[in-house]
Amino acid sequence: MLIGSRLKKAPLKIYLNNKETTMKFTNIAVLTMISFLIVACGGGGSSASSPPATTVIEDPVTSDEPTTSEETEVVVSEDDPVIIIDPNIVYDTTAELVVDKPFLLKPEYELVVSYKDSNNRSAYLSVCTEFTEEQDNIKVNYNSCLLRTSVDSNYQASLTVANDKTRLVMAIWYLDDIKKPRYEVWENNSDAQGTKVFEVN
Amino acid sequence: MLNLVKINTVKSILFTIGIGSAGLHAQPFDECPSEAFLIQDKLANLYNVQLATGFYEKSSPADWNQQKMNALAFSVHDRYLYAYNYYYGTIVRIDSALQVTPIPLTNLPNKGFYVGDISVVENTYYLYRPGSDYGLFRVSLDENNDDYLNLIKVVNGTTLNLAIYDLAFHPDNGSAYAVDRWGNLWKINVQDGTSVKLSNVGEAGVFGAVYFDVTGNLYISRNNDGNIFRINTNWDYPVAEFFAHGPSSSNNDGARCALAPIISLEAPTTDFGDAPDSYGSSINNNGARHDVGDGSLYLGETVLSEPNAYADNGSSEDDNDGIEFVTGIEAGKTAIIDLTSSGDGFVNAWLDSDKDGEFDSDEQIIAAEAVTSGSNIIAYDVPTWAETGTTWTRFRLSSEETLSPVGGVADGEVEDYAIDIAEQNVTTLHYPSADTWATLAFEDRWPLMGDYDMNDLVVHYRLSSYDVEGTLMRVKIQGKVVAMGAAYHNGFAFRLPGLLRSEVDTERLSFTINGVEQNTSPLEADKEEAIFIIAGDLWDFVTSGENCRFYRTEAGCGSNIQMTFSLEIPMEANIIKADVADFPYDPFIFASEGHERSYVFGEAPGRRFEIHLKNQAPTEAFQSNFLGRGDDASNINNGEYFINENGMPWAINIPYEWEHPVEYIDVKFAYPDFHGFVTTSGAQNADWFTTEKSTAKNIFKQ
Repeated sequence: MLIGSRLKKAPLKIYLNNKETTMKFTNIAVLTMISFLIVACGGGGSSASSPPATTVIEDPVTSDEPTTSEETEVVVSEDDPVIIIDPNIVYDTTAELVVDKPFLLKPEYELVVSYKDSNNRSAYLSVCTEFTEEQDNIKVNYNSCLLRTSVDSNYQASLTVANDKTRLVMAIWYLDDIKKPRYEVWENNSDAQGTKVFEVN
Repeated sequence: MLNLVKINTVKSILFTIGIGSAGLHAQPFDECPSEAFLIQDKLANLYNVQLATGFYEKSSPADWNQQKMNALAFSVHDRYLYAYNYYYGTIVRIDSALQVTPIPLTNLPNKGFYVGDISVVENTYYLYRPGSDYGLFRVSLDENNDDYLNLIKVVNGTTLNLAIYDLAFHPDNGSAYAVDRWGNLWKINVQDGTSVKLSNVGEAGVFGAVYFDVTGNLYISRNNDGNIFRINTNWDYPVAEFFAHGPSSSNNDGARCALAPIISLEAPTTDFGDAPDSYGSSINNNGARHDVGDGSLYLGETVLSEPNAYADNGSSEDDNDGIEFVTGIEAGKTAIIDLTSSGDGFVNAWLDSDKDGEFDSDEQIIAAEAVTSGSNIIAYDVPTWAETGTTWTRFRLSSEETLSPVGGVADGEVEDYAIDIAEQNVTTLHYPSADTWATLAFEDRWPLMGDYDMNDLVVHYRLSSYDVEGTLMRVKIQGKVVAMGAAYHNGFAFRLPGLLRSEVDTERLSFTINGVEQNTSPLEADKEEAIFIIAGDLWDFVTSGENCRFYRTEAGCGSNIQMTFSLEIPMEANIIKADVADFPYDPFIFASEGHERSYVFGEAPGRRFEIHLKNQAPTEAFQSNFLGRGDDASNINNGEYFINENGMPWAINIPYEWEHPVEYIDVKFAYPDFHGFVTTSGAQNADWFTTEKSTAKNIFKQ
């Protein structure tokens, strides 16, 4: 199973009262451990009431190696394996999935909103993801906004936008002419390189 | 006189039955109706009145041709209406087809009665008129009674001398009640003709129609303005509260079945608001309510009827759809709404600016604003003294020009919104947006690898930050625990990296779970950093279903969301927003105290154990030598945390209301594009997480 296959790769460590001990397993011990872990498949849930750890703890194996202070010790993988990131590899399970270490798996992008107003009109600005366009009329769902702010001059902000939101609208309501709001629509060109900017002049 | 503008689109029980059986045998009404009956005018017209809203419609046909009637009464004994008819000079019985049959009485005085009702506890019609020639009379409508149809004087009209215009029988105590022209509430013992003044209800005038409901509320309708007041006769000193705008008339008499509630549970015609009841929302608190009436005047696209505030209206449709808050609501500034109306009417609105849970008179933001069909842009001023944070606002649309924040009205709609009042010139940022959810999904076997069903803990959440020109004012965190596919006991917390504990204004900090303000501070004690503990053990708040091992992860193990939370975190002065981390801050889980973890920990690790998002450093509470144990391959020198040897984390964040995989199903099989997204470092399958990209059978459905 998933966990069992992981056991082959690294020396097993057992932690007793938070002190690290290395132990050598006989084949039987390894098999026992694997079978426990198979039972434990399916998240912590399956095993919390009777964790396999219990068995191990009840039969502690001590080591001759001195232990260092637990509060200061930091275990760092010293022999970092070379990870190959290949988009063409198909992994059967997520347990095998290899991820570029700096890649944070964030399905979102940064968007710089830039509003320029040389007339210094007092206005209220909203950037939102849900809106409908009918003829020349845009109707914005203001509950879908990512940014809402009063402005009376140039304004710039950086937003975090979900990847599935590819079109955004900026609604600008001028306080000196409340019946004439202005709408600008921005579309994400996912192929574009560099910083994405929603610029309204 | 009545100025009826309503069209009879909602046919009353009375009217439909009347049409259906017209000309056939006289039939009683087939149930105890919730609406009231009102008879008016010299050439009589009969109306149905919804007391809750004042909505009324004419039920008598145009060719009814009945002369003036009064002392209208509904008999709960035979379910006919009775009245004194001036044309026949005696009482009449009115059946469900509205056929009028005179009933000759013996010993009848030669002048008519305009006050009367039929007792609930005995089948006897009581008629009253003050003056020495009259008084209180009783006539038995019981064929088996010796005095059947024989009028008997109970007391002389000089002894019982009340300036009253209608009376109504209490649903169970046998007494009649009436309010005189000075507002005195009288309880009349009809057996001996004595009366006792219970109170002055605080409203004077000619109350030509009075009614009881089954709980002992007396409703009195004033002729000159049609206002309906409610008086709870169960109180020690009953007073009138304004209840609804009803029909006005110079000549008026009402009756209803005193055994019915005033709003039909089966076929309600009333729209209520949904703000907390301190604002006046439910019928018991005289909540704001509108009769849907002929259905022509409403906010937004639709209005729905419900029997009471918060009650299920049998629809998943949201009829709170008439107001767009196109600007923010900032203290001391002008705010703008875009209000959609179905037709001409007037709008009145309130904003609970001092956040005291009530709409006070100085909190009206829009007064009698005329609106027309379609979009109406309306500006209003937010008080300078408005307090920042979450509060409620109420919008009422009606053909009635002036409304209060409570009470009933015969048309239109009420819509209540929970909104945020912000500081002046505040910039609000939302993640993922103001009303959508992001998702945190944890595998909790760390540092051992799990099965990647990514449902050991699933939290939906959203974040908002409020800053004024770069100074962070507040942060808001809202969320709900949507799944727990693990039996490990986990706590859940947010750290705001870059923010110190001492920089939080703990006095104004607000923390609710399931809408209930918590007494304990979420701000973790004895820490330098600002860490907010949502729960020390989430299993304290949710339970797995019957025959289910976990919470909302197994097929057939759906349940309602059992835990929601909300945090409003105000800052001390001069906190630079740029010094605090961006969204999503640092959400993490930790081990609940006293609960064992896996074998890699020799004892229950408690708060020293944490699982964070990928490459997010743990908090100061974390025991650093836990890193590297089991399958964890953190490398602090490279800033790599909570990843395995393959670079996979134990927690992922998705800016979407993500539907998690069912128990034991690898996320790959629930979201086939996930691996492609990961192996291309996000270059492809950017929207792998959407419902459209899921494999339906492998994601959890309620």
